[in-house]
Amino acid sequence: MLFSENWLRTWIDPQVDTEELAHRLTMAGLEVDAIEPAAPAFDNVVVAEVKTVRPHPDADKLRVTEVFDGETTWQVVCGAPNVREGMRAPLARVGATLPGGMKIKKAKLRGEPSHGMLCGADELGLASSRDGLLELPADAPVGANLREWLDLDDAVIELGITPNRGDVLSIAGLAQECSALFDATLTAPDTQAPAATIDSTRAAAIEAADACPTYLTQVIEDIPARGDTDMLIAERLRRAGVSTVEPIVDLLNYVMLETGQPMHAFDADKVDGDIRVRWAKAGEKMVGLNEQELTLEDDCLVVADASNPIALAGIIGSAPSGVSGETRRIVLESAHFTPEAVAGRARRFGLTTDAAFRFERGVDPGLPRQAIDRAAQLITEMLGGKAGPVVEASGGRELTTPAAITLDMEWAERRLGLPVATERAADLLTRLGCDVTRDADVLSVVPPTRRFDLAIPEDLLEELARLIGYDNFRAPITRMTPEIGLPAATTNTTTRIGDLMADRGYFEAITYSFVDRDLDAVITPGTPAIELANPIASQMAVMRQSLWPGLLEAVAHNQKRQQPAIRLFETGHRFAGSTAAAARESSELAFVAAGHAAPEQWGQATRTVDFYDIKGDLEDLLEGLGLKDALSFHPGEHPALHPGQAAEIRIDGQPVGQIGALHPDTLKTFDLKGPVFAARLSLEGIAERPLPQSAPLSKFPRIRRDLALVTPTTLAFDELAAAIRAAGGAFLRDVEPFDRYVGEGVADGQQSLAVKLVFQNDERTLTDDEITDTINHILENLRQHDVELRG
Amino acid sequence: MSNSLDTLETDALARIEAADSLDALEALRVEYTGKKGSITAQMKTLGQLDPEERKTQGAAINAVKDRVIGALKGRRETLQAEALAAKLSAETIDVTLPGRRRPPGAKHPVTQITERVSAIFQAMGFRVAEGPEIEDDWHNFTALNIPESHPARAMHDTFYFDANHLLRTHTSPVQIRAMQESKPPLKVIAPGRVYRCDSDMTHSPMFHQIEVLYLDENVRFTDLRATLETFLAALFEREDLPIRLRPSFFPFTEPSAEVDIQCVHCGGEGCRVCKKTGWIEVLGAGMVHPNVLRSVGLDPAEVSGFAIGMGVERLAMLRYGVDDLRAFFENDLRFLRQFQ
Repeated sequence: MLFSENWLRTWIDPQVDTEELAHRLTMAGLEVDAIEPAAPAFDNVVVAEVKTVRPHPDADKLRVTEVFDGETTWQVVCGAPNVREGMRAPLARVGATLPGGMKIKKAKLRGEPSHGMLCGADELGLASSRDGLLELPADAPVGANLREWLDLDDAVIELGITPNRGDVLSIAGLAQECSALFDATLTAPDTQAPAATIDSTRAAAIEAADACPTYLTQVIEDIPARGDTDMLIAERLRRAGVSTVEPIVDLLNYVMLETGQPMHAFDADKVDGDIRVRWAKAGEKMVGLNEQELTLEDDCLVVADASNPIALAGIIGSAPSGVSGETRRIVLESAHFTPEAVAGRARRFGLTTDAAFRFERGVDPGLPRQAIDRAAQLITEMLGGKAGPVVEASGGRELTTPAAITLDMEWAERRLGLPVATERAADLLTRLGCDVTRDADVLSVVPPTRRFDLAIPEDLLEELARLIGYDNFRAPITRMTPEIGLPAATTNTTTRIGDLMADRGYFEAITYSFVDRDLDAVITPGTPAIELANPIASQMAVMRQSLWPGLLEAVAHNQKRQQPAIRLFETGHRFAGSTAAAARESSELAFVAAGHAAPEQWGQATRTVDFYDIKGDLEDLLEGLGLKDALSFHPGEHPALHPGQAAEIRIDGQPVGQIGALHPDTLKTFDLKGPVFAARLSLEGIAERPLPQSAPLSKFPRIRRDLALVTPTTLAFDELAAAIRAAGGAFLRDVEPFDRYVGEGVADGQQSLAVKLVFQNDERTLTDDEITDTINHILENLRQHDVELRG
Repeated sequence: MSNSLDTLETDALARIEAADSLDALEALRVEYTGKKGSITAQMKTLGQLDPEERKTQGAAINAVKDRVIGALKGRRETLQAEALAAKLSAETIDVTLPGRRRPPGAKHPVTQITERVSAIFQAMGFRVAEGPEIEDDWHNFTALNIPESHPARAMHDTFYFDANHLLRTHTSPVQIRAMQESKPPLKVIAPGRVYRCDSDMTHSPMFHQIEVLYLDENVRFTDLRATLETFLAALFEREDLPIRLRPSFFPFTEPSAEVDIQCVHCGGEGCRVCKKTGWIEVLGAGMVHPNVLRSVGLDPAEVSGFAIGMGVERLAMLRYGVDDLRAFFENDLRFLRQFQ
C-alpha cells in the first residue's frame, strides 16, 4: 500500500521526521518497504501562462511563445504540439535545475532566443511517458512555485500490510494507528453531507443478509460535462498508485483511499429498475469493467438490477452499468460486504481490485454512511449535480457489535514474561479505540468495529507488546525442561551419509521433487506417478518415483558445461502410490558417476569411470555405515540399466536398491554421454547399524596363500568365494581376488583368476601341513564347479 | 726389513686412499690383511727371528696392520657415504608436481545451513522431526488456524493434487504432527522442502524451511526472544549480534513477529544488502496461537509455546554471499565446488 506522507499529515502531524515516522510504523507492525520522493528534485519551476504562440521561422516543429511567469513575460521556444495560447503550464525559468541535474540557461534555438523551458510531466518526473506539455488547470495561480502548489515536497511511503490489518488500508485508518502510536489527536476533514435537492432514489433490497448487512444508495443527477480530474486529487491518487480514469470514478477512489470504504457508482440510466443484493445463479454471466466475461457460481454475491448482475459485490462492477464521460445521472453504492462473502472470489477469476483487497480483509461496517456522505459532498462540490436522499437497505439483521474480551493482567504477565501495569494497558487499548472497563487487574475490552483482528486475549497481548515495543520484552529464559535431542548412536543419519559421500568425492545436488512424467516413467515404468493438478510447467508435472531423473538431468547439465568428472548425490523423498491420498513417501539416497575415474594426473593414465568404481564407492559408504558385512549384490535387471551391468543391492538379504550402468536408451532419453553409472538405495534400508563390539586381537600370525585358478566366466565370484569358504574351514579368514585375466592362453568361456586366501587361528600358529591339506580340500571341492588350478 | 715394512705401509695407505669403489677396497683388504695378504705374510716371517727382534718386529707389523685396517674402515665409510649420496641424488624428484588426488566433494550449501541450524537447536535440547511433503489441507492450513478463504491462503500459492491434498507450503504442519504424536514438553526442529507455485528471479517453486516448536507450561514471549538471541548469535558467530522483533502476522501465532538481525555486511551502517536499513530480516516467529493448540486437543490455559520458521535459502544467500536463488537448484558443479 502506497500513501502520501503529506496527506496523512493533514490528518495527524506527529512531531517526527519521515525517517522516524517510517521507523515507528515498521516497529509497530506496519512495515515500511520503501520511501520515495513524490517528485524528483527540481527547482525554479513555476506556473506560467502562455500568452502568444507563433511558428518558428526556421523550424517546422518548433513554436515561439511568449510566456508570463507572474512577473515577466519571456520568449520561450517550445516543441510540444499541444502548446496553445491561454494555457497554463510549468515553466522552468532560466537558472532552474530539472530532474537529472539539467540546468536551464538562456539559449538560441535555430536563431530564436529562448528564456526558459515549458515542461511536460515526464520532464518533471511526474509521469513516465511523454504527452506534450503538462496542462495545468485554468485557475492554477500564475507565478506560483510548482513544487509548493502541487505539494511535491512529499514522500510516498510503501507499506507491506499484513492480512490482519485491513483497518489501516486508508489515510483515516493510518491516522488512527498513528494517534495510538504517538498519543496524538487526529483531525478528520470536515464532511458535510449535501442537502437532498431532489427526491430521486433507487431502492435496494438485500436478499443475502449474512453477506451484506447494509447497503446504501444515493442518486445524484444533472452532473455536468466534466474535464480532467482536479489536479490535487489526481496527485494524491498518483501517489497512492491509483491511476485516474474519469472524475466521478476518481473521486470515489479518493474517498476509498481517504476512509477505507470501497465505493461504486452505476450509471443510473443503465440500471434496469431496483437493485437487489443476492447470490448469483450458477452459470450467470457478467462482463466486468475490465471487459472480462465472468461465469458466476452460486457462492458469488452479486448486486443485480431487475434483469442482470451489475456488479460482483465488493469486487468489480459490470461494464454496461459503469460510469463514463457521458454519464449524467449516477447511483452511488456504499455497502458492507462481509469478508466471507468476498474472500477468494477475486482470485478465482484472476482479478485483483482495491475493493476486493479491502473487503477480504474486513472493512469497518460503521463506514458506509460516512463514506457516501463524503462522496456525495465531493462530487457535488467539485463536479456539480443534485443529490437525492441516502436510502439505506438493511437485511433486517443488526450489525453485530464486537464482543468484549476479558484480559487478565496476571495472565498477561505470565504469557509476555514481563508485567504491564493495568492502568497502562487500559490506556494503550483505549488509544486504539477500544472501549475498556477495569475491574481490579482484569480488563474488559470491546474493540472498535474496524479491528476485525481483535477477538481473543492473545490478540490484545500483541497490541500491548506492539505499542510498548517488542524490543522492550527482554528477559532471560527462566526454565527449559532438559531434553536430549541427539539421535541414537546406532542411527545412520542423513548427515553421516552425506559426509561419507562428500568425503568420497561426491557433490550434493538438490533437484526438484516434481519431474517430467516421461522421464520419470523411463526410470520407473509401469507404475503411474502422482500428478500435480496445477504444475507450473510440464517438465515439473509429477512427483518423482525415484531420485534418478533429477540427478541424470543434473549430469546432462554438467556434461554440457564440459565438466570432466561428474559425481553427484542427493537424498530426499520419493513418492509412490498413484494418488496423493494413497501416497507413500520414503527417503532415498541416489548417486551418479560419469567421466574421469580420477582427476587427470601426469603420473597415471586417465581412465573413465566404470561399474567397479561406483560399486567401490557404495561398498566404502556401507563400510562407513557399519553395514559392509550385511551387504551383498545380485545380478538384477532394471529397465533403465544395462542388462549386463546391473545389480540389486541387498542388506541382510533384503533388497534395498539398484546399481548399474545406464542403458544406452536411457542415455539417449536424458541426452547423456555414456557411460554413466547410477546407484540408489532406500535410506530406511540402511538407517540402522549394529553398535560396534570389540573382539580380542589374535597373537598368532596370518598366513597368506595365493591360488591361480581357471574358472568358467559364468561362475560369479561370490559363488566361487562361497565354495572356497565352504571347504576352507574355520581358520580361513579372507578370500580376495587380486588379478583377473581373459584372452590368449585361456580358453573361451574361461578366465584366469588369482585369489588370495588368508588363514589365521587365534589360539596357535597354523602349520604348513595343515594349510596345504586345507588348500587341497578346497581345490578338490572347486572341481565340482569346473574350477582348476592353472597348469 | 723395517724399510720394506715402511714401504708396504706407505703403498697400502696410498692405494686405499685411491680406491674408488667398495669392490676395489675389498680387493685391497684381501691383498693386505687377508689370509694370504702381504701383512699376514710379514707376520709369518716372525718365527725366523730371535725372540728380542721378534717382539719389536711383531709390534711394528701389528701397528702397520692396525693402521691399514683403520684406513680401510675410514675409506669404506667415505665410499659408502658417497654411494648413498649418489643414490639419493639420483632419486631426486620434483616435489612441486601435483600429487595423485581423490578430491573431496561437498554438501549442498542449503544442507550445510540446515545442519548447522539443527546442530544449534539440538545443543539446546531440540530433536529433529520430519513430516510428509504431500500434506492434507487440514495439517497444512486448517489446523494452523488458516480456514478456507482466509486471505493468508492467497499468499501461499499452493500446488494441489486434489481438493484435499497439496504439497506443503511450509514446514509448519510438522508442528501439528509433532503435537499429535507427543505431549508437551515438546522441543522439535523440523527442516524440509516446501513448495509454492511461483517461479521467477526471487521465487523458486521448491525451497527449504526450518520450523522450530517449543511447548511447555508457561512458555513466555520473552523466552522466544532469548532463544532467538542465542540461536542467531550462534548461527552468525557473533556473540553480541543485535536483533530486533517487529510485529507481524501469521495465522498460527499470536503475538507474531518478524525478526531482523543487524546487517552482517555493513554492521548496521546501511548498505546494498540491507537496502540501507541496517537490518536484515531472517525469520518469522511467534507464540503458538490458542486455536492451533485446540486443534490438536491441547488446552491453551495449560500449555503455551513458541514457533519459529525460517527460509534456508535466504540464510544461505546471506551467509555465503549467493545472489541468485536459482543457483541453488541448477546443480552446476562449478557452483557446488565453492562450498567444499
